[in-house]
Amino acid sequence: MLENVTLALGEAAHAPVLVRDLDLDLRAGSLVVLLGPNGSGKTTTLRLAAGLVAPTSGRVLLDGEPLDRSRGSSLRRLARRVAYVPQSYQSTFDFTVRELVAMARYPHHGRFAAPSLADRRQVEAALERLELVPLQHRIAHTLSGGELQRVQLARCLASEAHVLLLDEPTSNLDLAHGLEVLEVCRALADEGRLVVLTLHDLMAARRFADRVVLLQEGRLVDDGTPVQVLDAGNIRRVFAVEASELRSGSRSAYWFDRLQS
Amino acid sequence: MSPSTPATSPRARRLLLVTALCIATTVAAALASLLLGAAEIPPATVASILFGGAAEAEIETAGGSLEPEMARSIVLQLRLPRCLVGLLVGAALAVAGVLLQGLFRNALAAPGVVGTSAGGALGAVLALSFGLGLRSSYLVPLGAIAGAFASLVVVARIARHRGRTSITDLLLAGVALNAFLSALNSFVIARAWIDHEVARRINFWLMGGIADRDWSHVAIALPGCAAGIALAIAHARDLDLMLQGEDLARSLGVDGERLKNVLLLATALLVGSAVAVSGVVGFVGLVVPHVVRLAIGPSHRALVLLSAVAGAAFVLLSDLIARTAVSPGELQLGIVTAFVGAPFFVFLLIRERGRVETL
Repeated sequence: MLENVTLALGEAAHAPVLVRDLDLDLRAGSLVVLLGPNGSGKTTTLRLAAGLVAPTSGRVLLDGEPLDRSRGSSLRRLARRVAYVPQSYQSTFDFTVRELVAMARYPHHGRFAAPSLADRRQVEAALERLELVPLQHRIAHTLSGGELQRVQLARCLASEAHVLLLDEPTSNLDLAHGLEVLEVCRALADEGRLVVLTLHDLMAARRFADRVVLLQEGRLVDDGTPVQVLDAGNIRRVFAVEASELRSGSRSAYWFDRLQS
Repeated sequence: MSPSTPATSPRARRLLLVTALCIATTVAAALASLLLGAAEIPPATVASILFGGAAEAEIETAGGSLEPEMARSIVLQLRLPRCLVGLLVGAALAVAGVLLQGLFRNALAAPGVVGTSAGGALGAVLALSFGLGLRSSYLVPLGAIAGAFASLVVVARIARHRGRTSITDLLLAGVALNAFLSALNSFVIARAWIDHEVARRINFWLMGGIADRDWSHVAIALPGCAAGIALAIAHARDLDLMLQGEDLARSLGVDGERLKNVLLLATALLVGSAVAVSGVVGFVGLVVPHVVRLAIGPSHRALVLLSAVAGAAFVLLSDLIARTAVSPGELQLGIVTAFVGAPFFVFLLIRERGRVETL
């Protein structure tokens, strides 16, 4: 939950503000999509929620308690509850898929302890669920974008975190792989987790999200169900495009035309 | 691959084999370094000296030309400390290489390449030339650790740009720092020549290698090496996470800034302690982590532990070659490690270049 959160770069009064007065109450068991044009504060909002940056003012709460990032142990405790997938990812050296997924268990055991049987079971289950067992000994940077994104999801699953924050998980994927990732996210939310995604695809947001948060220049524009938020007025205002909705039975799609200024 | 154990990775199985191989090689090298030498002492005699209990009369020497007391002192005062110093120096330099390569996310980083050893050497020479070495022998390693730490901070500042280290920047910064520190070193030594005792000490130490090291050198190297390796093992998993990017590492519970400082300190402890007793021995920290990583993968817990063992073996074997290749003379240890290491470095450079071009 984000409470009146503002994040500015630097202390000065004229410092650029990335996110301003954001108030979000995010509930478990839902899939929330953050939408907005480039630079609207989607990634910053996710990073704030993940505790990667501290807000300049306001508070970020998890289960009613403010995030505490002051010490190593509190960082590790947070890591067991919140999983984060950055937008771009590059692994150095030749780690295998299995090794990467197993890293989700690192915050669960002590500095000198070996992984327990429970740790290994979680890793196995995550690999199986995302159909990564045949790939588990492959070197990560030999995988395709879709496979790598599945590895990231498997890592989130193996961590047992109940909050999953994913930054543009479909950005480099083709249609089928993009849909696959969204279906997994949907299923994870249905199982009771809070899944927060940033996306650029309005139609995917409309189809998969329980809730859409529309951002513009770091401010909240609208927040509600996809049908409420993604109306022609909001889309015109935020994305500067004219959206015509095309319906066919229960399905709908948008046709976009750039606004002539 | 055996079908009955599908869950064990090829790496996990290779880990056992490589561990066994490393330990066996190190034990063999250590034994060889205790058994071989200018004085011929039979293995049985060496064993009875080492494991004590043997009365003076039971010690037999080849040809009877060696006094039992002499044999005892050769084994216990010359060969054993030399062997232990070799183990410590090898383990320390190899683990320092692992940490540097992880910190800079670059397989070409190593204490000898980025100026850490040169910084340690300057620190030690300064400590010696101000006569601190005469006051307490622990002031020399402290100087070396401080010098290594300072040079690390300088290189990290120069080469890291927006969280990434370019190979070119790192190597150029290393070359420049190495040259600069060597020049400073020569300057300090030239000035120190005024005092004969200090000059003699610097000279002995500058010869490099682990010849004529005694128990005081073991005592000097041990604390820093032990502390550095313990820090490396404690933070090995954090280093795995850092290699996936700082944001991801933080989201998995790693405070990146703190980790970097801890690892720089650990590297300085390791390199400083090694340099304080053996001078600049190159290429150990470059070759060993790389070969071990090729064999067992980049997970740092295993990598740190096995690199320590393999580094110890590498230095002891190199020292054996140094002692026996041009017998009765001795080569410098650094010459032997460079003979193996320099071609390997060029090989790595070519391989890394190929990688960058295919990105």
